[in-house]
Amino acid sequence: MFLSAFEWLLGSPPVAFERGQIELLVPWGLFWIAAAVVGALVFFLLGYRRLGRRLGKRGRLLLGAARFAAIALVLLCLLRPQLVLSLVVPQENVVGVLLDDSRSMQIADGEEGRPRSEALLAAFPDEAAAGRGEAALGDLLREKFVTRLFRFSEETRRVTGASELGFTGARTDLLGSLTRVADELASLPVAGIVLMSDGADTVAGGREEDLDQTLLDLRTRGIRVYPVAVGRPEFDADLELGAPDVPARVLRGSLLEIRLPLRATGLAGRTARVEALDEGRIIATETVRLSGDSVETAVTLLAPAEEAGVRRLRFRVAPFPGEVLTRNNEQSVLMEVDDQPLRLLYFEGQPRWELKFLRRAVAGDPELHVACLIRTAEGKFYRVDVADAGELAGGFPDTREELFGYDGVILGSVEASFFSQDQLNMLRDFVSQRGGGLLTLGGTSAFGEGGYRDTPLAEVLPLALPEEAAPPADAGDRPVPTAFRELSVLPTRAGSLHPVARLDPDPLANTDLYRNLPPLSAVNRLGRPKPGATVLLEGLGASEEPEAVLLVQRFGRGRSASLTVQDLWVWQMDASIPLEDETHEVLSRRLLRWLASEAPRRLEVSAAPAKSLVGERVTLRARVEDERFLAVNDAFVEAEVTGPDGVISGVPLRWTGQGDGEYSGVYVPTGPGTHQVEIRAGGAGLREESEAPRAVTLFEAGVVDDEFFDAEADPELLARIAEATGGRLFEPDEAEELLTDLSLAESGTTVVERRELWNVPAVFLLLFGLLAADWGVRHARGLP
Amino acid sequence: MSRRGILAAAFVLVTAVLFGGTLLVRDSASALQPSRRQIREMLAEAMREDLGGPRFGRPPGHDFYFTRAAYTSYGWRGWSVDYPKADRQFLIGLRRITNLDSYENENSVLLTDPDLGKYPFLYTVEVGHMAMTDDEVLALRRYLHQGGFLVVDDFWGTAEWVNFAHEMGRVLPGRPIEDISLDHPVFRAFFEVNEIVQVPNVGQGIRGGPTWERDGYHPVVRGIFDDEGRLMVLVNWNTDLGDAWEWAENPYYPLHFSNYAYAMGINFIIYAMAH
Repeated sequence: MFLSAFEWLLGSPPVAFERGQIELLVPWGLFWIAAAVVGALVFFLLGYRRLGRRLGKRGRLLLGAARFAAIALVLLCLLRPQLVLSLVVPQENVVGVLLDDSRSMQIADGEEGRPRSEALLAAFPDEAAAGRGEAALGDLLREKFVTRLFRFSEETRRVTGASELGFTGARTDLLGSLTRVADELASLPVAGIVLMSDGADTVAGGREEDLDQTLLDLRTRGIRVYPVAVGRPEFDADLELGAPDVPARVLRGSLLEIRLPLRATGLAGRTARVEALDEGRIIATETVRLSGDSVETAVTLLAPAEEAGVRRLRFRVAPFPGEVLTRNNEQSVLMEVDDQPLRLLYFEGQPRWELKFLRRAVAGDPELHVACLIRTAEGKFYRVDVADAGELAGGFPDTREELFGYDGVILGSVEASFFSQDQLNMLRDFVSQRGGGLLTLGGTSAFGEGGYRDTPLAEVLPLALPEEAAPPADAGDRPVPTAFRELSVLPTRAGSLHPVARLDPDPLANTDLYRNLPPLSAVNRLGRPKPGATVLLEGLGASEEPEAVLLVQRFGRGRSASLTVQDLWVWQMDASIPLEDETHEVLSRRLLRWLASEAPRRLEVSAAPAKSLVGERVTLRARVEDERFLAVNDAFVEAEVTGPDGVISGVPLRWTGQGDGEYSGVYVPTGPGTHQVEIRAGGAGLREESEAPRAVTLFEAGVVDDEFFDAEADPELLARIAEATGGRLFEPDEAEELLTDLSLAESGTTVVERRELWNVPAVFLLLFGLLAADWGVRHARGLP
Repeated sequence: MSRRGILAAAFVLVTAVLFGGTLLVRDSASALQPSRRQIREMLAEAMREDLGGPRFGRPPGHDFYFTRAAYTSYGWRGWSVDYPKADRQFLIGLRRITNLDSYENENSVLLTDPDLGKYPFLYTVEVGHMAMTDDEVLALRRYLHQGGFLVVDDFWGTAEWVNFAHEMGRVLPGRPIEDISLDHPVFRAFFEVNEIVQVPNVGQGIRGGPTWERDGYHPVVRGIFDDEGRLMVLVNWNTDLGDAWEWAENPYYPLHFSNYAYAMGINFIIYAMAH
């Protein structure tokens, strides 16, 4: 309405004024213009003076302005303003048409449940259907332009009509398709590219720099993109599960902490029950109350990993009535459950009950192997649970090879001066470089009391050691605890959600569980938790402020945890603990598993994307380290990919040259299904023997369902593409406007057209209006 | 006061003294064979002295307390034989030889004490006269199943064994008491012990006579194991390690007995704290 009124008044649509230039065609030269202006001014001033007395101030101003404007308008018309446009020459220019052929076009979020694809089919009907009913966009385009149709999803292909589209593409690669079409039309006069899509890109996904680069490239080439948006930017009601955050490998028997993003629209107040399934068996459930404001929240599921091997975990929420899209209520992920035990080293500077009860707690866990070394007297050690006669025979390890063979280290009550500087540095590197876990326990010779304040280990600890940590007071020749205190231990908020401290899924029940446990004792003076640390358990003693009892943090590649009490074993032995109570066992096992389970192996492997298309390149990456966990760049690395049909193909991996120890290779799956990748490394720097490291990962081909996730139409992205390339975003029913816009493109083969502006209706109406105002004022005041 | 009055008063006084004396004699006679109730009261009294005693108290925060289990027994023999001198002398050696952070004084605890679980190592003697109450049986059973470790010492001969075995049968029904061979790690936890020695009581040790008592001619180390094969109770039968600790400073008591007893005691503790 507005646009057509604008066009009638000014003779051209707004876009013409936007694109074109207004020039004045001066017929008489500057002298006459100046003379006319002076004459007009004199005439105006004379009239103004003569009438001044009878009009009053406001009337004088009004009359003067109306008359001045009328004269100015006539003068302007005499200067013959013109709109200079470059119009495309009919049938001499090419318009590329990109039609979205991805699966998200099947989503029926249109009126009366119509799929998005319907708008495309209506705009570009078959030859037979052409000419019937309302003019389709395709027909209009063909009248003026040479059109080239392309379908696109994960790839781009020429088509002759929309009927060739099946809407089965597994991905939407907007930017890639635009670039490819621009390349294909590079040698032709291109008026622009019409892009018909829902804008739900599943490839670029947030890669801002790629987007900016592509758009800049199109703009430099002078190609305007005219997106036609289909689909709705927000569903009436929908629940979508995001990609679950699951580690690629977990230890059997571990409690998995799975973070599952969840986004709900229009379902406020409803509750959703999220289920996690392992091969059809429900292993965890969680109920969440939906806020319905389309904000992404996350559900944390704790699920046990019970069976070793490749597991397919599925997550699902039963569809709500009226949900537009139900395919996004399910997610699946592949995970490897490993049964290779973790190796830990527990070193105590003196015999302590903590060691006995920790050993008992982990005894029932086949995936945890804790070798214990106890200093029973000066220079005398007692070894328990060592694998062979040679393990720890020389006391605490003094080589990287020996120490780094463990996945985790537990330090009990042992003073820092026991270790050499090299050993302390090695312990720090064990966490930061090797990626192992370090657990430090409270005790008379631990933390500040053990003299750790100015050692490399102080960096690793998740808490600060206070300056005033008193040197142990001597009673005879041995220290006596000076800061002994009893602490009632409770989980923090973070602790109630953490897989180590969450003994009950319900936070309140979890807190109660801890509340019923007897108090523990601590003897160390400790500083504040470090900024990056998470306090899982805290203790309340005589002082009002709770103090951290169990806290964890990342340090470099590894993990660091401190248990500041000295007698966790009380939770096993106290008379108030029922015999069948497993709190001490569960907490100890979880803590040790958490500590060491993420310790990288000497050979790590990954495949990206983890869900690929058949025929898509899957990049296999490996990181190779020697026994001292130093990266090896000249190893011989080979991957064996076993397809679902059992066929094994070898893929050599080469050093990438970009990072130390990093190798990569490419495999292209030829059929759908789960593929297992096994990598072996050998050669320089690695011992050629049976213990040559090997690693396994998995990927799945042919099951990509990205199109149903984050599937709302994204007109914002389309608008951005339009704006950045100089085009404009249209709705499917704006075919005429699109055509006008395209006709005014400055690219392609064009012809210059000058349009006079003095004779447009707007000028006449304005002049008429001004004179009418002049007359009106005069008439009202009784002037001639 | 009249003469008659003085006589009357004197009569009353004499009568009272005589009657009171008879009472005292009767009390001391019954003290030789106290009733169970009296034993419990005596024990409780001893405990009160020990727990709240002004001399030592029980300062918290040590890694280890050498703890004696106080139980009910019949006859005069009981848990407190050689107590506390044996305990103190053993602790001197333990603290000197190992780096264990141990409380330096004796520590006795009733089996029914709610704090029993704070001391995962228990030492007890003279179990040939043990006659535990049901509460004590339940408490000890629970303690051992939770991970506590009990060392039994100083009882001799078949009769005392039978009593001990019966009492243990009440605590851990169905669990056999098995011989522990010399290749068991308990004999190498700190010192290398290669033979089981019969340690005599102080009298026999000083006199240099036979080392056995009653019909307990051969020293034996036995144990009770849990379902996972872990040692819960360690039994020293026909031997008296406690006397060897108690009289270690006596120049007439043979040194090799004391050395052996210290080695065994330390091995038991190091083993208990690691397994």
